[in-house]
Amino acid sequence: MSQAIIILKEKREAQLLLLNLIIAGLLAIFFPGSFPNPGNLRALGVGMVYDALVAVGMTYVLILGGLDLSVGSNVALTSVVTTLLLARWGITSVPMAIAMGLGLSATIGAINGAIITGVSLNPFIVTLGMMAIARGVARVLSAGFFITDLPASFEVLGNASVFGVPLQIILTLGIIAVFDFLVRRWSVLNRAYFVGTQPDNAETVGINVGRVIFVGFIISGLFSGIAAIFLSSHLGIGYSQFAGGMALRALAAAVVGGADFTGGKGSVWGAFLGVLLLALVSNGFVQVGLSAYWEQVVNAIVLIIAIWAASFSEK
Amino acid sequence: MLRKAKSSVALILAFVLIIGSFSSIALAQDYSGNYAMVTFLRGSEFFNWAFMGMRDAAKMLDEDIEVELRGPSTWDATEEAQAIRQLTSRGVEGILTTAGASQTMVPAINSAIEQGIPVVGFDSDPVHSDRLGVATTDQFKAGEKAGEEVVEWLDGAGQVIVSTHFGIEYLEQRMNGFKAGIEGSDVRVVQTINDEGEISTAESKITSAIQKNPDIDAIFCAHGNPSIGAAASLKSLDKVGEIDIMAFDFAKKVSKEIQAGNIRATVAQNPYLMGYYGMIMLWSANQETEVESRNEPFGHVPPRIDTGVSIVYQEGIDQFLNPPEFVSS
Amino acid sequence: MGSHLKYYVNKFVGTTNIGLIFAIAVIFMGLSYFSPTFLTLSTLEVIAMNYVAEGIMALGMTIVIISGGIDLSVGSLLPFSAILVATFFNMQMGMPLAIALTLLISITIGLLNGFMINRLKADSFIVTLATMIGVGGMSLILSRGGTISGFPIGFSYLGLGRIIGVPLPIFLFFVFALIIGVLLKRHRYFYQAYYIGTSTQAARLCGINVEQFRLFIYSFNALLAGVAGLITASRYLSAGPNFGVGIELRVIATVIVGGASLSGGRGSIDRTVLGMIFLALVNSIFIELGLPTYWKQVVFGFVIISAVVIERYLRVKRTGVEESWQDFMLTSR
Repeated sequence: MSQAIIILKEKREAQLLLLNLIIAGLLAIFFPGSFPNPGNLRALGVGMVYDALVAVGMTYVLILGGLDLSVGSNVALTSVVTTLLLARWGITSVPMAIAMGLGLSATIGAINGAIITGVSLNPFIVTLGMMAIARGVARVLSAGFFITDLPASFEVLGNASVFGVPLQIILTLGIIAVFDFLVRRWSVLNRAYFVGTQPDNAETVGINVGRVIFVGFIISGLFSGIAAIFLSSHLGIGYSQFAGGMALRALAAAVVGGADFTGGKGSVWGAFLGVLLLALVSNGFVQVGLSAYWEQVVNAIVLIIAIWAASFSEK
Repeated sequence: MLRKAKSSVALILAFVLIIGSFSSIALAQDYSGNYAMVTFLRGSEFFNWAFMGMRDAAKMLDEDIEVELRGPSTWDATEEAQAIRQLTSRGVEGILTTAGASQTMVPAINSAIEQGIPVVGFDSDPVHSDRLGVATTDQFKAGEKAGEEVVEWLDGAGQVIVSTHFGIEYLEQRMNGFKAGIEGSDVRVVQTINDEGEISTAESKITSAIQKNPDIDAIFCAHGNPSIGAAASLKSLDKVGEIDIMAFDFAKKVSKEIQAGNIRATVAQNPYLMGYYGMIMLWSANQETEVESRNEPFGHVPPRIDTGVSIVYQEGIDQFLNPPEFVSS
Repeated sequence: MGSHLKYYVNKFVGTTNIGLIFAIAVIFMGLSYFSPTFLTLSTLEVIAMNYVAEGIMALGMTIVIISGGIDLSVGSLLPFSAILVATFFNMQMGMPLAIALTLLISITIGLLNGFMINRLKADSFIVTLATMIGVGGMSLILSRGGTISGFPIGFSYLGLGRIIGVPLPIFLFFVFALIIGVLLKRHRYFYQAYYIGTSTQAARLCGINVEQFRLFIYSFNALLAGVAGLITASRYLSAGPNFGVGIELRVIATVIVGGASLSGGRGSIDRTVLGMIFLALVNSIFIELGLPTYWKQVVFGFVIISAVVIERYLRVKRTGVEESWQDFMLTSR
């Protein structure tokens, strides 16, 4: 018992898991018919896959001591370009278009990383600039239109189900699980913790800090790209207004999940649980049926509770 | 050594960025217009239709007239007012504007009128200002019409979920209209959802709300975006045909979903005509008109042109499937 | 003689953001060449007025950022204070009382920010993000999602009135800038921001009450955001929850473009004023030159990245000090 309390005090993931379980449990008790049924779980899933992917990429950048505000715009631009490739620019092969879209999202991350490490600039301002540029280019390319007329095979990825579970949810969980494993076990990615905590020492030990950071931003870009592909495929459109508030939401989820701005902290599962918390609150709000005017206030309170809970584990 | 390398990287980058800034300005070729349209959510399909109408009318009136599109890409009406002020001080010949919030635009519009620049409203009417006229569809009535249609669908009794974006004035008017439309029947709004303007948020919340209210009969979307999410939700829950969606406007994706039968109908306004008539109104404000003007020194402008509203079903949707192509300005 | 001149030039370059002055000059000349109406008092006034809310908020944000923090909540404080004052007026409250109450509530929210950052030992970014969401929600609740109007006639003076020919908001901006600028340079209490921003621990060891300063600076920042909200309400004679969407990022960009560092310890009011003038000009280029509006964000993004890259290049060249971007926010607690 006391051991459990110690774990709860020290492990952010454990706290979050508990918080999530409490909310989910309460909802299941009060709304046994409508909360834990397949349809609603699907709603929960759709409400969090895109955020989860982006938040996981964001966490990795946070571990390195940076942050990436351009993720939402990256989602929009990748979505617009991938769908334009298929609808207007004469690419007929869906995998080809997806590969090019992912290549674009990684390139956006690479540009962020190159400027940040090349000139030692603050990631906040660089990715803020990129946020404006990517969104702007998405708007210029699409003129704000929904891009439709996509081949039916493009919409399979986001709409197919395996044993009743949407494929995009399975894939997202798979990607996150693999990435979590790699970050914990694979030395190349695991270096991020060392680099984030003690960049100078990392340099002395012979780690190419610049390169690790550069790769980190590429990873974040790539995760945005995956989210964009799932989103466009699911809805069958490319849209320059996608993911407007996603950057701040992903940041909030990642920080709730244990990352912080000083670097060296955070975990992939923590970020996932953070996203789950936000999605549960939003879902719970619909279930409870409270006036939606109060939603943001409740969001803020839950966020503050999560920060408060976290303040126990630090010291 | 490292320092030197880094500072030269910075120099090269600075150079590239400056070139980039200039070339992107140059790429955006000069498009100095004498008439301007000011919108919020610049670049949404709806306003692109309106801008096309304005351009076509301008071309018809005089080959030399140029038109430009201005305004924020968000819902922020204060930025619209800022654009009007700046256009006024630059000295355009006329401004056609829609109001993200009608009160907010009043001082800017009135000051333009005072300085002799005609301002005409379209779509969301800046009603309290001195604008010379307006080409619009009454948002309240459009919502009311949607409400009456839904009552008819449900034979006078049933449950409805409504999806809207909180904090937007004209959506609020449509909502009030919708409520007035269903008044007197046994159709009830059982849940109102804030979709925050995002499609996937709308999908997630609508799916959840359907679980909470399993007897739901219809979904009313106060604007275009959530209807796409609602259609995706029905498809994934396999409830197409069981629950009817009333959408708003005819963005291409919405039209396609109607064609596919996933959305039952949409409330169609006529943005092209709004832009078209709006341009003509601005132009006539700058002419001496036969009819005596109520707004000296401007020419006569009809105070209100109603461009109509209709409910469009699958059979009538074909004409909306080819929206204006990308306008590069 | 030559070396004296060089010394003064160096000193000038050292204390101000020479790259930005240069950029402002270029844009200014370009605009006056290409746009016949640009160099008129009324146009300049409009350009300044269109960025004055950002400017006023950037003054407080400068000190927050110098002390190593960040405050996102101002983004929703602006519409909130506008809605508050409108609500009070609709409750038939007198003007002085309504304004005082609004500012008081703004300050309270700022205090709450500072309190939570101190108490929860959390990063200012996430705490103020939570406040931003919460305050945004309260705006929605108070306004019922609509736009509120119905201001007393005298209230419009704040946003539309003039003092010695200058629009009151611009006048206020310069008065605030002057006062805060001098205080930040000369007054011991304000100057603590630099110590705290450079190293919180060292500042503590020097006997600076970091917690108290935080309470002060976040409430001060919230006060300025409240003032900006009042000016906005008065200027548009209305208040809505969508006013100034995304303004917090523009405000932060203004401060950073001016040459402050998010890692704290660096920045000044005169640099922020330069940043404000620069971004106000950039903001106006598109309408002034009639350029296609779709490109606006693209150019805006290029411009802010270029500005920081150039500033960094010049500073590294001058001081020879190489910093790592990982100093980012290291001192924020």
